[in-house]
Amino acid sequence: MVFNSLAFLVFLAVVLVLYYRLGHRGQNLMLVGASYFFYGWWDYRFLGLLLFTSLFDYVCALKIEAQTHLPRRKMFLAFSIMVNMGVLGIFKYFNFFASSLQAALGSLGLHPSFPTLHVILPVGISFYTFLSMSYTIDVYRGELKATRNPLDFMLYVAFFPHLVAGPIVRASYLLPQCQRPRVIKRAELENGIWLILMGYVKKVVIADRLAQIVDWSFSKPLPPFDNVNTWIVIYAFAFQIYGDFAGYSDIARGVSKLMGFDLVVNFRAPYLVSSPSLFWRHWHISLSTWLRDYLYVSMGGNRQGRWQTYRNLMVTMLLGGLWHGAGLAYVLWGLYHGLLLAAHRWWSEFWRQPALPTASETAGGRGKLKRIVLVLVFFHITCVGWLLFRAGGLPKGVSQGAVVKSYLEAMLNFGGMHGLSALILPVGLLGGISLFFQFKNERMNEFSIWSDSAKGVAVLGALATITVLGVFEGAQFIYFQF
Amino acid sequence: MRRRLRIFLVACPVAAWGLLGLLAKPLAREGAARFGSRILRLGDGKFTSPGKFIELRLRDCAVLLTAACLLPLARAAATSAFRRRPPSRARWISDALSGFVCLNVFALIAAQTVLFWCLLFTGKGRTHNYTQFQIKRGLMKEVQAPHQAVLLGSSQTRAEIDERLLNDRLGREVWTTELHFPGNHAYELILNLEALPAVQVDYIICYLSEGYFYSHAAESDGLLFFFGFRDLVEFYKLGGGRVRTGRSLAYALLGNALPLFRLRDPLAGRILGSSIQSSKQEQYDQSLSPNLAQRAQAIASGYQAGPESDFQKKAFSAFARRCREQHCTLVACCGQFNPLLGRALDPALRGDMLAFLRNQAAHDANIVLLDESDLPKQTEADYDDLTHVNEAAQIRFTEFIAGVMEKLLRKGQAGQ
Repeated sequence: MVFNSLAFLVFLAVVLVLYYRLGHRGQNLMLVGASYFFYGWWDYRFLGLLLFTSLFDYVCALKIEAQTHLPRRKMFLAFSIMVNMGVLGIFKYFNFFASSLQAALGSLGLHPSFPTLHVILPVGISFYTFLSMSYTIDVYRGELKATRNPLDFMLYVAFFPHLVAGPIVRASYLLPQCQRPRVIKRAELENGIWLILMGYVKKVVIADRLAQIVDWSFSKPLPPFDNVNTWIVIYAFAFQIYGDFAGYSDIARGVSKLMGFDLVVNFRAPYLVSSPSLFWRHWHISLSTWLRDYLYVSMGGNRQGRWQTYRNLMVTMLLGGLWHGAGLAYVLWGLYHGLLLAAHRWWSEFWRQPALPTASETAGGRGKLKRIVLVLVFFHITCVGWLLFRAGGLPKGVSQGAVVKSYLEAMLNFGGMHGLSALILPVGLLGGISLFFQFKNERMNEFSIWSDSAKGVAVLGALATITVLGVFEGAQFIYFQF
Repeated sequence: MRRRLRIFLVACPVAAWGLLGLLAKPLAREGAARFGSRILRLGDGKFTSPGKFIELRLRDCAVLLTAACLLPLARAAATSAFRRRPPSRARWISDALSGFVCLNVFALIAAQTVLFWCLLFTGKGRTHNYTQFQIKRGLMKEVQAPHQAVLLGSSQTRAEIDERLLNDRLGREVWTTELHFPGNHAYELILNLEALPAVQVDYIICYLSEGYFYSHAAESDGLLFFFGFRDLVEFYKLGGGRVRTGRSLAYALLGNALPLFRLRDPLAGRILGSSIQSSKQEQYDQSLSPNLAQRAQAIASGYQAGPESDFQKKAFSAFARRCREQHCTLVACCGQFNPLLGRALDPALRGDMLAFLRNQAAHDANIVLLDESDLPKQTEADYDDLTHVNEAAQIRFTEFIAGVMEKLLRKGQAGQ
């Protein structure tokens, strides 16, 4: 079931009616049932996998907590991680690694035959596996007490707003909300309604309209333009993926707020930042903090010297890329961002600048101008990364390398341009709305304190925009496949 | 709402209608004298009098202005009448919802004017099909001819018959308006018939082929744009519930309840430019195999008799019945596809379709059936693709239809 479907709206209405009528335990039970129904709507056969992952980590966490002997605690943690990674490996990465190994051995003159698995990728597997795994790690680290109630834990993992595309909310944040009775405040209800509307604008208006341009462009063997107009297509994808994913996160947060839950902010203003380190503090924040806390820090972070820090950054981002999809393009996208982070770190150290801009740097007129230039430059650097990312979604049989090369050539062909493409109008307009949301990001999260007239106008504007410019063909969310 | 604003909102429409009464005719005359030829060129044969066109568009302006002024007044009046109903803390919700209702009512009123649709026109070949349909439908009301004919059906009808040629030849006696909608099946003919303006249509001409009866489409644009609550009972009686998805029905009904929702694609085309729409069409065209024979084989596999054809046949019978009730002669051509596709189809389907149409005509004197043997022969060379004929074949077929219409007119005159 996708958020942008009529079925979901009906489902949500029923869930809310039941939710408001039940007590705390009844709410949790109903939400677990509703969440499994939500997931099963897509493919009921994978409900067992979801149940298995939840129950397995629930038991592992209890075992970890019960052990006082460190090696035994470690053993149960390793067991949990292995099983979770095993599930991910079988369903998501097996075929990729098998074919990559086969290709590598083939280049050495060896031609072994590896079996391939004919399995569908369960929706949101990367999200709920990471979610569930973080719980056992937190219990192992002593940052969280293992819950005794399996229902609470099942709700934490399967809670339908974040189940298939995040945010990846840490157990220490969400589990206590599952355990105690929720209080629904008026302000949070209002914020929830606004987040849902804003999320739909981002998804069905910005992302799905721009998807028509992007899909058209990438359905061709060559870029649609042989000059810098090609940038328009890449801008379109940049705004599409922002709208798609930030929209999902907003709807997820909004729906949760209607039930008294609070999910973490997942997106701020990723296209208004001036450096890669800032970008990852604004883009898919829940994943980047997960990778930072459980991977980067575990590998030593920046505590072991300069080169180890660069290595850790590269490895973390490479695995982050791989998390997005089992394909070379995603790996390269991760490496690209790893390189950017490492280069930015080196640059900051070389010039003895702080990695993040200070308040005084951005306050003055010159500081603002410098920041605008840096934002523009970094936005274009990000767009090149999005080209790699989009290439990962090309159909089988299309050479991703050739597509990326032809796009890069066209993007750099400044001489061959004879006027702007007509696509600049939709991309400019929808991209402008997307940038406005990012520019007013803080304000957008404080809807409840707006004046009544501002609220009325904003809600009317959002309703009208969704109705007039929305695409209602039930398009999937890009991040579902991850 | 402030008193001055209220007075302004009342005065505006009053002034507009007053000015319209005084100046519409002279302005229209002047406009026609200056820009008449350009307007006619833009009109592309859809109307003949630029003066009248200008005059009626001025009236549309007054209608739109009146709606834009009176709706906020009505909303303010309703708000003050129910002031105490919503608690003040939730007033923004009622404000937003009432504003949304007003926008939809405005869209409903605007959609009745040709001017509104003309504003959504983004160029020949780049305008949304629904906009084209509504412009032609609106202009149809303004035609002054002894008889009116309408070309209904899918894009095949438009490809086979050129309304301009027909009007050049017969326009003084019978004015023809082409109101095709791409992807139409037999059922959508009923919906299109309902959408016709309240004028006496004397002839409906359809170019029918196997596509109307045997190709399954779980969702169709015709349904999305023309289906309403009033069609629900008949739709289920005809068996449509078995072959169309609930989703398409839900969206169609939502469009019926919220005019803004129904207008979203034409409006989006206007706001965002037609490039998005054309990219979608281009992507679809690219996905088609360039080899027509292969494409024919692929398409033919989707054509079969079953619940879909049962539904479409019942729908066609209902359509024919409605034509009879509206005293409108139905001219049904037993058409064909490109022979490449025709040969790829199960031959039993064509036999079944012809038998069905002949049986319909035998039991309904209102149907003028032009059997396949009566129609001009079309070969593979006459087609641009698998369904649409080229210009030369179109001219030949249009001449043939003109001949048929002349005979029908003479017969009608003799009958009188």
